[in-house]
Amino acid sequence: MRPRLFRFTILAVCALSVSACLPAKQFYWGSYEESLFSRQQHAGAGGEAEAATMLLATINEAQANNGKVGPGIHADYGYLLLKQGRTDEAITQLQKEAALYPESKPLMETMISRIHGRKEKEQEKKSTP
Amino acid sequence: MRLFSCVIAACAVLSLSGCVTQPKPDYSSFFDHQPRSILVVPPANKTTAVDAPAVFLTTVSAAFAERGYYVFPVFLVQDILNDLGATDEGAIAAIPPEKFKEVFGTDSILYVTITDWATSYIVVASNIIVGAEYRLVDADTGAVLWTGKQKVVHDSGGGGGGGGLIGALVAAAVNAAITATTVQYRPIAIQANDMAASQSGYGIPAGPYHPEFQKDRGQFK
Repeated sequence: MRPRLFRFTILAVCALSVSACLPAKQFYWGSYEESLFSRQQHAGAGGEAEAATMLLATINEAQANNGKVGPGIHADYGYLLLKQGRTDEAITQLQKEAALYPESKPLMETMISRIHGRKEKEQEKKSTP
Repeated sequence: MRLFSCVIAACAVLSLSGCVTQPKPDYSSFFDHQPRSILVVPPANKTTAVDAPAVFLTTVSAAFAERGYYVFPVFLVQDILNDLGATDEGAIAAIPPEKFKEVFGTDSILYVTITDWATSYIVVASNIIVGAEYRLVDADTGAVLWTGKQKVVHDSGGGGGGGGLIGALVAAAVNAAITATTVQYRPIAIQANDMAASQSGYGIPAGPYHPEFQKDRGQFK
């Protein structure tokens, strides 16, 4: 009887210690960190395009599962769109990040105002031959 | 059956010993400057593995954000730092904390130093070792909020080859050939970061996006 009780206690301790190490998920991450790794492994436009596809899928999956997409994901997707020259879509993503996570608002606003500044300059260039 | 209980007992001892190796950090400074956001800067590297910092940087975000914090997108941060001329660990370390507040609006900065990133070969198996030291700093005052240390040794196994010692040696040789790849370090780094961030009494207290926010102080004294 005694050794069995001992074994049971040990098992319970084991189970507890394992469950204590498994954190409950606060956010939906999808393939965010894999997208970072993909960019790290394939520098340049190809890796960035692949990462953008992964992030878009992650954002859609989070929506479908009623999950809150992890911090940084809209911002990172927006940043990749910006690099692809899709500025309007980029701004939308940066705004989403700021709305979801107010901590990011100062940085998102700085980025958005820079994008607007750059756009205005480009338009000036076009209008003055 | 005796073998089974022996394995279980060993597992229990290991899991316990994993929790009592370091002195408990002091959390008074952390709670004085409770941050909402964490800016992870590209890690410093004490190892000879050149690609370790770049790979490590892809494994930190979820681990720390899951503690309930806003973690800035790490590559965007890295690119902005590059634009500002901070392209290596020395230049990053030289930036005053309040500058991070000014540029990014962050409450805190997480500095990571990679201490281990290696494969060790023993006779019948090989181990992947990933270790790191962490320092969280308040962006307003430069005060150290938290420090942590983590080392994960992953036994990549050596059995399964069958055929006694020769089979084991063959398996070890095959494993050794495979373990050199970056892909196998990533899950170990993720595990190290998860443990560093979330270990009760040693990790980061729950932040505003965590249900335990301001309720878990008993764990962190």
